[in-house]
Amino acid sequence: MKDILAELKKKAAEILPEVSYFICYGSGFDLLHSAPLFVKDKGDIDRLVLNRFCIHNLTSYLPPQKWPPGWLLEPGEKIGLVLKGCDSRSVIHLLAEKAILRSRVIIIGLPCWGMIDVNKLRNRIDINRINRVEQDKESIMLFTDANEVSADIKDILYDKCINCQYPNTLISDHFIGAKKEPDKGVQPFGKVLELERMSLLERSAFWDKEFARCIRCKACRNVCPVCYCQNNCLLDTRVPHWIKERVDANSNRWYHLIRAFHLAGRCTECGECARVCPMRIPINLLAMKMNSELFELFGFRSGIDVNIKPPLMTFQLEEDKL
Amino acid sequence: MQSEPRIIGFLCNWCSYAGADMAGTSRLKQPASVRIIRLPCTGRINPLLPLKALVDGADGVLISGCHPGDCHYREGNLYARRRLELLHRFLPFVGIDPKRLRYVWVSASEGQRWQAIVGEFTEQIKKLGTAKAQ
Repeated sequence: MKDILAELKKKAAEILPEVSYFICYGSGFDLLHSAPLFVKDKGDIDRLVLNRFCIHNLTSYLPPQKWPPGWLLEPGEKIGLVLKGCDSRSVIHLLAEKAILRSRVIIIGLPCWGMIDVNKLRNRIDINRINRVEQDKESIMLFTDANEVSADIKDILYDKCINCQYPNTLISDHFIGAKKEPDKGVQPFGKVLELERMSLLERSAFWDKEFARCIRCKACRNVCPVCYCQNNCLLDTRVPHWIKERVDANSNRWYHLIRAFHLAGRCTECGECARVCPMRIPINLLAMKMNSELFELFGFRSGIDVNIKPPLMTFQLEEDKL
Repeated sequence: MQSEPRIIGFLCNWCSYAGADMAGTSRLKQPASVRIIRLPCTGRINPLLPLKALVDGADGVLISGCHPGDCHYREGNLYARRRLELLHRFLPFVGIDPKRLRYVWVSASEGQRWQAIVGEFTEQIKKLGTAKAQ
Protein backbone atom coordinates (compact mmCIF):
# COMPACT_ATOMS: atom_id res chain seq x y z
CA MET A 1 0.00 0.00 0.00
CA LYS A 2 2.95 2.32 0.65
CA ASP A 3 4.17 2.03 -2.93
CA ILE A 4 0.72 2.95 -4.19
CA LEU A 5 0.64 5.98 -1.91
CA ALA A 6 4.00 7.17 -3.20
CA GLU A 7 2.83 6.79 -6.76
CA LEU A 8 -0.45 8.50 -5.94
CA LYS A 9 1.40 11.51 -4.53
CA LYS A 10 3.51 11.68 -7.66
CA LYS A 11 0.43 11.53 -9.88
CA ALA A 12 -1.39 14.08 -7.76
CA ALA A 13 1.49 16.55 -8.12
CA GLU A 14 1.36 15.93 -11.85
CA ILE A 15 -2.31 16.71 -12.32
CA LEU A 16 -2.59 19.43 -9.67
CA PRO A 17 -1.88 22.30 -12.11
CA GLU A 18 -4.80 21.11 -14.27
CA VAL A 19 -7.42 20.97 -11.52
CA SER A 20 -8.95 23.49 -9.13
CA TYR A 21 -9.28 20.93 -6.37
CA PHE A 22 -7.83 17.52 -5.89
CA ILE A 23 -10.10 15.45 -3.64
CA CYS A 24 -8.43 12.60 -1.80
CA TYR A 25 -7.98 11.16 1.70
CA GLY A 26 -6.10 12.71 4.59
CA SER A 27 -5.59 11.58 8.16
CA GLY A 28 -8.60 11.78 10.44
CA PHE A 29 -9.00 12.62 14.10
CA ASP A 30 -7.38 9.38 15.24
CA LEU A 31 -5.47 6.43 13.89
CA LEU A 32 -8.60 4.53 12.98
CA HIS A 33 -10.17 7.20 10.82
CA SER A 34 -9.34 8.96 7.61
CA ALA A 35 -11.09 12.03 6.29
CA PRO A 36 -11.67 13.55 2.88
CA LEU A 37 -8.92 16.01 1.99
CA PHE A 38 -9.15 18.84 -0.51
CA VAL A 39 -5.78 19.73 -1.96
CA LYS A 40 -5.25 23.05 -3.68
CA ASP A 41 -1.55 23.75 -3.11
CA LYS A 42 1.40 21.61 -3.92
CA GLY A 43 2.56 21.78 -0.32
CA ASP A 44 -0.50 19.88 0.87
CA ILE A 45 0.24 16.81 -1.19
CA ASP A 46 2.31 15.39 1.65
CA ARG A 47 -0.84 15.23 3.75
CA LEU A 48 -2.29 12.54 1.47
CA VAL A 49 -3.09 9.28 3.17
CA LEU A 50 -4.03 5.87 1.84
CA ASN A 51 -4.93 3.15 4.31
CA ARG A 52 -7.62 0.69 5.33
CA PHE A 53 -9.85 3.46 6.67
CA CYS A 54 -10.45 5.42 3.45
CA ILE A 55 -14.10 4.41 3.27
CA HIS A 56 -15.69 7.70 2.17
CA ASN A 57 -17.23 7.85 -1.27
CA LEU A 58 -15.66 11.02 -2.65
CA THR A 59 -18.14 11.06 -5.52
CA SER A 60 -20.54 12.80 -3.14
CA TYR A 61 -18.61 16.01 -3.79
CA LEU A 62 -19.00 15.89 -7.57
CA PRO A 63 -22.53 17.00 -8.51
CA PRO A 64 -22.53 20.82 -8.67
CA GLN A 65 -25.78 20.92 -6.69
CA LYS A 66 -23.95 19.46 -3.70
CA TRP A 67 -21.06 21.89 -3.71
CA PRO A 68 -20.75 24.03 -0.60
CA PRO A 69 -21.50 27.75 -1.02
CA GLY A 70 -18.62 29.68 -2.46
CA TRP A 71 -17.33 26.62 -4.24
CA LEU A 72 -18.44 27.58 -7.71
CA LEU A 73 -16.00 26.60 -10.38
CA GLU A 74 -15.64 28.57 -13.59
CA PRO A 75 -16.74 26.71 -16.70
CA GLY A 76 -13.86 24.57 -17.84
CA GLU A 77 -12.28 24.30 -14.40
CA LYS A 78 -11.72 20.72 -13.36
CA ILE A 79 -11.86 18.57 -10.26
CA GLY A 80 -9.43 15.73 -9.68
CA LEU A 81 -10.24 12.85 -7.37
CA VAL A 82 -9.18 9.46 -6.14
CA LEU A 83 -11.70 6.66 -6.57
CA LYS A 84 -12.02 3.12 -5.28
CA GLY A 85 -13.82 0.53 -7.37
CA CYS A 86 -17.16 0.81 -5.57
CA ASP A 87 -17.06 4.62 -5.67
CA SER A 88 -16.38 4.61 -9.37
CA ARG A 89 -19.79 3.05 -9.92
CA SER A 90 -21.36 6.23 -8.53
CA VAL A 91 -19.37 8.32 -10.99
CA ILE A 92 -20.45 6.11 -13.87
CA HIS A 93 -24.05 6.44 -12.81
CA LEU A 94 -23.79 10.24 -12.54
CA LEU A 95 -22.31 10.28 -16.03
CA ALA A 96 -25.12 8.05 -17.32
CA GLU A 97 -27.62 10.48 -15.79
CA LYS A 98 -25.71 13.38 -17.29
CA ALA A 99 -25.42 14.96 -13.86
CA ILE A 100 -21.71 15.68 -14.31
CA LEU A 101 -19.45 16.19 -17.29
CA ARG A 102 -16.71 13.69 -17.96
CA SER A 103 -14.46 16.47 -19.27
CA ARG A 104 -14.49 18.21 -15.91
CA VAL A 105 -13.21 15.36 -13.76
CA ILE A 106 -9.82 13.75 -13.70
CA ILE A 107 -9.98 10.38 -12.00
CA ILE A 108 -7.14 8.47 -10.43
CA GLY A 109 -8.03 4.82 -10.04
CA LEU A 110 -6.72 2.29 -7.51
CA PRO A 111 -7.06 -1.34 -6.61
CA CYS A 112 -8.73 -1.77 -3.21
CA TRP A 113 -8.36 -4.55 -0.65
CA GLY A 114 -11.40 -3.64 1.40
CA MET A 115 -11.91 -1.10 4.13
CA ILE A 116 -12.12 -1.71 7.86
CA ASP A 117 -15.34 -1.09 9.75
CA VAL A 118 -14.34 0.61 12.99
CA ASN A 119 -17.65 -0.38 14.56
CA LYS A 120 -16.81 -4.04 14.07
CA LEU A 121 -13.36 -3.40 15.51
CA ARG A 122 -14.88 -1.64 18.50
CA ASN A 123 -16.82 -4.77 19.36
CA ARG A 124 -13.56 -6.72 19.67
CA ILE A 125 -11.11 -4.42 21.39
CA ASP A 126 -10.91 -1.19 23.32
CA ILE A 127 -10.01 1.05 20.41
CA ASN A 128 -9.18 4.04 22.58
CA ARG A 129 -5.98 2.44 23.74
CA ILE A 130 -4.54 1.90 20.31
CA ASN A 131 -1.50 4.03 19.61
CA ARG A 132 0.03 2.43 16.55
CA VAL A 133 -1.40 0.73 13.49
CA GLU A 134 0.48 -1.26 10.90
CA GLN A 135 -1.31 -2.40 7.82
CA ASP A 136 -0.69 -3.94 4.49
CA LYS A 137 -2.79 -5.66 1.87
CA GLU A 138 -3.50 -8.83 3.79
CA SER A 139 -3.51 -8.01 7.48
CA ILE A 140 -3.70 -5.33 10.10
CA MET A 141 -1.75 -5.09 13.38
CA LEU A 142 -2.92 -2.82 16.15
CA PHE A 143 -0.66 -1.88 19.04
CA THR A 144 -1.54 -0.64 22.47
CA ASP A 145 0.99 0.32 25.14
CA ALA A 146 0.91 -3.12 26.64
CA ASN A 147 0.50 -5.54 23.80
CA GLU A 148 -0.17 -6.18 20.20
CA VAL A 149 -3.53 -7.17 18.77
CA SER A 150 -3.98 -8.65 15.39
CA ALA A 151 -7.33 -9.23 13.81
CA ASP A 152 -8.45 -11.41 10.99
CA ILE A 153 -9.16 -8.95 8.25
CA LYS A 154 -12.28 -10.81 7.06
CA ASP A 155 -13.95 -10.26 10.42
CA ILE A 156 -13.57 -6.51 10.48
CA LEU A 157 -14.14 -5.49 6.88
CA TYR A 158 -17.22 -3.54 5.89
CA ASP A 159 -20.04 -5.80 4.76
CA LYS A 160 -19.80 -4.51 1.23
CA CYS A 161 -16.07 -5.26 1.13
CA ILE A 162 -16.28 -8.88 2.24
CA ASN A 163 -17.31 -10.09 -1.19
CA CYS A 164 -16.20 -7.35 -3.52
CA GLN A 165 -17.16 -7.62 -7.15
CA TYR A 166 -15.47 -4.44 -8.28
CA PRO A 167 -12.17 -3.93 -6.44
CA ASN A 168 -10.65 -1.91 -9.28
CA THR A 169 -11.79 1.51 -10.40
CA LEU A 170 -14.03 0.99 -13.42
CA ILE A 171 -13.47 4.38 -14.99
CA SER A 172 -10.24 6.30 -14.65
CA ASP A 173 -7.78 8.57 -16.43
CA HIS A 174 -4.81 7.20 -14.53
CA PHE A 175 -4.69 3.80 -12.84
CA ILE A 176 -2.13 3.22 -10.11
CA GLY A 177 -0.85 -0.18 -9.02
CA ALA A 178 -1.69 -3.65 -10.28
CA LYS A 179 -5.32 -4.65 -10.70
CA LYS A 180 -6.76 -6.90 -8.03
CA GLU A 181 -8.70 -10.05 -8.88
CA PRO A 182 -12.39 -9.71 -7.94
CA ASP A 183 -13.65 -12.11 -5.28
CA LYS A 184 -15.18 -15.28 -6.65
CA GLY A 185 -18.74 -16.47 -6.17
CA VAL A 186 -20.10 -13.13 -5.08
CA GLN A 187 -23.74 -12.91 -4.04
CA PRO A 188 -24.28 -9.17 -4.49
CA PHE A 189 -27.61 -9.00 -2.65
CA GLY A 190 -26.83 -11.40 0.19
CA LYS A 191 -28.15 -9.20 2.99
CA VAL A 192 -31.44 -8.68 1.18
CA LEU A 193 -31.92 -12.42 0.78
CA GLU A 194 -31.29 -12.88 4.49
CA LEU A 195 -34.09 -10.49 5.32
CA GLU A 196 -36.39 -12.10 2.78
CA ARG A 197 -36.29 -15.37 4.65
CA MET A 198 -38.40 -13.75 7.36
CA SER A 199 -42.18 -13.81 7.17
CA LEU A 200 -44.12 -10.71 6.18
CA LEU A 201 -45.01 -9.93 9.78
CA GLU A 202 -41.50 -10.47 11.08
CA ARG A 203 -40.12 -8.17 8.43
CA SER A 204 -42.72 -5.56 9.22
CA ALA A 205 -41.72 -5.73 12.87
CA PHE A 206 -38.04 -5.58 11.94
CA TRP A 207 -38.46 -2.36 10.01
CA ASP A 208 -40.79 -0.86 12.62
CA LYS A 209 -38.03 -1.31 15.15
CA GLU A 210 -35.36 0.11 12.86
CA PHE A 211 -37.38 3.11 11.69
CA ALA A 212 -38.46 3.98 15.22
CA ARG A 213 -34.84 4.83 15.99
CA CYS A 214 -34.45 7.24 13.06
CA ILE A 215 -33.93 10.85 14.19
CA ARG A 216 -34.41 12.23 10.68
CA CYS A 217 -31.04 13.97 10.62
CA LYS A 218 -31.05 13.43 6.84
CA ALA A 219 -27.39 12.46 6.89
CA CYS A 220 -28.25 9.56 4.57
CA ARG A 221 -29.64 11.97 2.02
CA ASN A 222 -26.81 14.45 2.33
CA VAL A 223 -24.07 11.90 1.90
CA CYS A 224 -25.70 10.04 -0.98
CA PRO A 225 -23.84 10.74 -4.23
CA VAL A 226 -26.97 10.40 -6.35
CA CYS A 227 -29.26 12.48 -4.07
CA TYR A 228 -28.52 15.85 -5.58
CA CYS A 229 -31.85 17.73 -5.90
CA GLN A 230 -30.36 20.13 -3.43
CA ASN A 231 -32.92 22.96 -3.42
CA ASN A 232 -35.85 20.98 -4.75
CA CYS A 233 -35.73 18.01 -2.43
CA LEU A 234 -39.19 16.63 -1.83
CA LEU A 235 -38.26 16.00 1.79
CA ASP A 236 -37.76 19.73 2.35
CA THR A 237 -40.76 21.19 0.55
CA ARG A 238 -44.14 21.95 2.04
CA VAL A 239 -45.88 22.39 -1.30
CA PRO A 240 -46.82 19.64 -1.90
CA HIS A 241 -46.56 18.51 1.69
CA TRP A 242 -45.44 14.94 1.19
CA ILE A 243 -44.02 14.35 4.61
CA LYS A 244 -44.66 15.60 8.12
CA GLU A 245 -41.86 17.24 10.00
CA ARG A 246 -42.79 15.25 13.08
CA VAL A 247 -40.35 12.48 13.91
CA ASP A 248 -42.28 9.32 14.71
CA ALA A 249 -42.24 5.73 13.52
CA ASN A 250 -44.85 6.33 10.80
CA SER A 251 -43.38 9.37 9.17
CA ASN A 252 -39.90 7.89 9.51
CA ARG A 253 -41.05 4.85 7.60
CA TRP A 254 -42.55 7.11 4.97
CA TYR A 255 -39.31 9.12 4.79
CA HIS A 256 -37.28 6.01 4.04
CA LEU A 257 -39.83 4.71 1.53
CA ILE A 258 -39.64 8.00 -0.37
CA ARG A 259 -35.87 7.74 -0.43
CA ALA A 260 -36.02 4.12 -1.56
CA PHE A 261 -38.18 5.02 -4.53
CA HIS A 262 -36.09 8.01 -5.47
CA LEU A 263 -33.08 5.71 -5.55
CA ALA A 264 -34.73 2.95 -7.57
CA GLY A 265 -32.34 1.99 -10.34
CA ARG A 266 -29.97 4.74 -9.26
CA CYS A 267 -28.37 3.45 -6.07
CA THR A 268 -24.86 2.21 -6.69
CA GLU A 269 -24.60 0.33 -3.38
CA CYS A 270 -21.72 2.35 -1.94
CA GLY A 271 -23.32 1.92 1.49
CA GLU A 272 -22.61 5.48 2.60
CA CYS A 273 -26.17 6.00 3.90
CA ALA A 274 -25.84 3.14 6.35
CA ARG A 275 -22.29 4.16 7.31
CA VAL A 276 -23.17 7.74 8.25
CA CYS A 277 -26.39 6.80 10.05
CA PRO A 278 -25.91 7.81 13.70
CA MET A 279 -28.56 5.28 14.74
CA ARG A 280 -27.01 2.50 12.66
CA ILE A 281 -30.13 1.72 10.66
CA PRO A 282 -29.32 -0.55 7.69
CA ILE A 283 -30.96 1.88 5.27
CA ASN A 284 -28.95 0.69 2.30
CA LEU A 285 -30.98 -2.53 2.26
CA LEU A 286 -34.04 -0.73 0.88
CA ALA A 287 -32.29 0.54 -2.22
CA MET A 288 -30.42 -2.74 -2.49
CA LYS A 289 -33.74 -4.57 -2.65
CA MET A 290 -34.78 -2.28 -5.51
CA ASN A 291 -31.54 -3.08 -7.27
CA SER A 292 -32.00 -6.81 -6.81
CA GLU A 293 -35.49 -6.64 -8.35
CA LEU A 294 -34.25 -4.53 -11.25
CA PHE A 295 -31.48 -7.03 -11.81
CA GLU A 296 -33.97 -9.86 -11.86
CA LEU A 297 -36.45 -8.07 -14.13
CA PHE A 298 -34.16 -6.28 -16.53
CA GLY A 299 -30.67 -7.65 -15.86
CA PHE A 300 -29.66 -4.14 -14.86
CA ARG A 301 -26.75 -3.24 -12.59
CA SER A 302 -26.30 0.46 -11.94
CA GLY A 303 -22.97 2.18 -12.42
CA ILE A 304 -21.32 -0.34 -14.70
CA ASP A 305 -21.83 1.14 -18.14
CA VAL A 306 -22.06 4.84 -18.98
CA ASN A 307 -24.11 4.19 -22.11
CA ILE A 308 -26.83 1.99 -20.65
CA LYS A 309 -30.20 3.62 -20.01
CA PRO A 310 -31.55 3.08 -16.49
CA PRO A 311 -34.55 0.70 -16.81
CA LEU A 312 -37.11 3.06 -15.30
CA MET A 313 -36.29 5.71 -17.88
CA THR A 314 -37.22 3.47 -20.78
CA PHE A 315 -39.55 0.59 -21.74
CA GLN A 316 -40.20 -2.16 -24.24
CA LEU A 317 -43.55 -2.78 -25.86
CA GLU A 318 -43.18 -6.50 -25.21
CA GLU A 319 -41.52 -6.95 -21.84
CA ASP A 320 -39.81 -10.26 -21.27
CA LYS A 321 -40.64 -10.68 -17.62
CA LEU A 322 -43.73 -8.56 -16.95
CA MET B 1 -70.73 -7.38 10.20
CA GLN B 2 -67.69 -6.52 8.22
CA SER B 3 -67.84 -3.10 6.59
CA GLU B 4 -66.91 -2.50 2.98
CA PRO B 5 -63.15 -2.27 2.53
CA ARG B 6 -61.66 1.05 1.49
CA ILE B 7 -60.00 0.65 -1.87
CA ILE B 8 -58.36 3.54 -3.70
CA GLY B 9 -58.61 3.31 -7.47
CA PHE B 10 -56.20 5.19 -9.70
CA LEU B 11 -57.80 5.23 -13.14
CA CYS B 12 -56.61 6.66 -16.40
CA ASN B 13 -58.97 9.15 -17.97
CA TRP B 14 -59.09 7.62 -21.44
CA CYS B 15 -59.67 3.90 -21.02
CA SER B 16 -60.36 2.71 -17.51
CA TYR B 17 -62.35 5.70 -16.28
CA ALA B 18 -64.55 5.41 -19.35
CA GLY B 19 -64.70 1.65 -18.78
CA ALA B 20 -65.83 2.13 -15.18
CA ASP B 21 -68.33 4.71 -16.42
CA MET B 22 -69.56 2.17 -18.94
CA ALA B 23 -70.09 -0.35 -16.15
CA GLY B 24 -72.16 2.28 -14.35
CA THR B 25 -74.30 3.34 -17.26
CA SER B 26 -74.96 -0.29 -18.16
CA ARG B 27 -76.23 -0.78 -14.58
CA LEU B 28 -73.73 -3.54 -13.82
CA LYS B 29 -73.80 -4.28 -10.08
CA GLN B 30 -70.50 -3.84 -8.28
CA PRO B 31 -69.41 -3.32 -4.67
CA ALA B 32 -69.17 0.32 -3.57
CA SER B 33 -65.68 -0.17 -2.23
CA VAL B 34 -63.54 1.66 -4.76
CA ARG B 35 -62.89 5.39 -4.39
CA ILE B 36 -61.76 6.46 -7.81
CA ILE B 37 -59.07 9.03 -8.47
CA ARG B 38 -59.06 10.09 -12.10
CA LEU B 39 -55.71 10.72 -13.72
CA PRO B 40 -54.73 11.75 -17.22
CA CYS B 41 -52.66 8.59 -17.67
CA THR B 42 -51.18 5.76 -15.63
CA GLY B 43 -47.83 7.30 -16.57
CA ARG B 44 -48.84 10.11 -14.20
CA ILE B 45 -48.69 7.71 -11.28
CA ASN B 46 -45.70 8.39 -9.16
CA PRO B 47 -45.21 5.08 -7.30
CA LEU B 48 -45.33 7.15 -4.13
CA LEU B 49 -49.04 7.84 -4.69
CA PRO B 50 -50.29 4.25 -4.29
CA LEU B 51 -47.62 3.66 -1.67
CA LYS B 52 -48.82 6.61 0.40
CA ALA B 53 -52.39 5.34 0.15
CA LEU B 54 -51.27 1.98 1.55
CA VAL B 55 -49.04 3.47 4.24
CA ASP B 56 -51.83 5.80 5.37
CA GLY B 57 -54.26 2.95 5.86
CA ALA B 58 -56.08 2.19 2.61
CA ASP B 59 -57.14 -1.46 2.56
CA GLY B 60 -56.23 -1.84 -1.09
CA VAL B 61 -55.07 0.02 -4.16
CA LEU B 62 -56.40 -0.79 -7.61
CA ILE B 63 -54.65 0.80 -10.57
CA SER B 64 -56.03 0.59 -14.04
CA GLY B 65 -55.04 2.00 -17.41
CA CYS B 66 -55.21 1.39 -21.13
CA HIS B 67 -53.93 -1.91 -22.46
CA PRO B 68 -50.21 -1.77 -23.28
CA GLY B 69 -49.91 -0.37 -26.77
CA ASP B 70 -53.26 1.46 -26.55
CA CYS B 71 -52.16 4.42 -24.42
CA HIS B 72 -53.72 7.75 -25.43
CA TYR B 73 -50.25 9.24 -25.03
CA ARG B 74 -48.71 6.23 -26.77
CA GLU B 75 -46.24 5.23 -24.07
CA GLY B 76 -47.41 6.38 -20.63
CA ASN B 77 -48.65 2.99 -19.48
CA LEU B 78 -45.47 1.30 -20.68
CA TYR B 79 -43.43 3.34 -18.22
CA ALA B 80 -46.11 2.74 -15.59
CA ARG B 81 -45.94 -1.02 -16.11
CA ARG B 82 -42.27 -1.09 -15.09
CA ARG B 83 -42.76 1.21 -12.11
CA LEU B 84 -45.82 -0.61 -10.79
CA GLU B 85 -44.23 -4.03 -11.15
CA LEU B 86 -41.26 -2.75 -9.16
CA LEU B 87 -43.59 -1.33 -6.50
CA HIS B 88 -45.49 -4.60 -6.36
CA ARG B 89 -42.28 -6.56 -5.80
CA PHE B 90 -40.93 -4.06 -3.26
CA LEU B 91 -43.96 -3.95 -0.96
CA PRO B 92 -43.37 -7.26 0.87
CA PHE B 93 -39.83 -6.16 1.70
CA VAL B 94 -41.13 -3.45 4.01
CA GLY B 95 -43.87 -5.64 5.41
CA ILE B 96 -46.86 -4.58 3.30
CA ASP B 97 -48.87 -7.41 1.77
CA PRO B 98 -48.46 -7.18 -2.03
CA LYS B 99 -51.97 -8.62 -2.43
CA ARG B 100 -53.27 -5.21 -1.43
CA LEU B 101 -51.97 -3.72 -4.66
CA ARG B 102 -53.18 -4.69 -8.09
CA TYR B 103 -52.65 -3.15 -11.47
CA VAL B 104 -54.82 -4.09 -14.43
CA TRP B 105 -55.56 -2.90 -17.94
CA VAL B 106 -59.20 -2.12 -18.77
CA SER B 107 -60.29 -0.47 -21.99
CA ALA B 108 -63.23 1.91 -22.46
CA SER B 109 -65.48 -0.82 -23.81
CA GLU B 110 -64.76 -3.36 -21.07
CA GLY B 111 -67.45 -2.44 -18.56
CA GLN B 112 -68.06 -6.07 -17.70
CA ARG B 113 -64.39 -6.73 -17.17
CA TRP B 114 -64.26 -3.77 -14.78
CA GLN B 115 -67.21 -5.15 -12.87
CA ALA B 116 -65.50 -8.52 -12.56
CA ILE B 117 -62.19 -7.01 -11.46
CA VAL B 118 -63.76 -4.82 -8.78
CA GLY B 119 -65.76 -7.74 -7.44
CA GLU B 120 -62.78 -10.05 -7.38
CA PHE B 121 -60.41 -7.51 -5.82
CA THR B 122 -62.92 -6.50 -3.16
CA GLU B 123 -63.35 -10.16 -2.20
CA GLN B 124 -59.58 -10.55 -1.99
CA ILE B 125 -59.23 -7.48 0.24
CA LYS B 126 -62.09 -8.64 2.45
CA LYS B 127 -60.23 -11.87 3.02
CA LEU B 128 -57.09 -9.97 4.01
CA GLY B 129 -59.08 -7.87 6.45
CA THR B 130 -58.66 -4.25 7.41
CA ALA B 131 -55.16 -2.86 6.96
CA LYS B 132 -53.61 -1.51 10.10
CA ALA B 133 -52.74 2.12 9.58
CA GLN B 134 -48.98 2.03 9.24
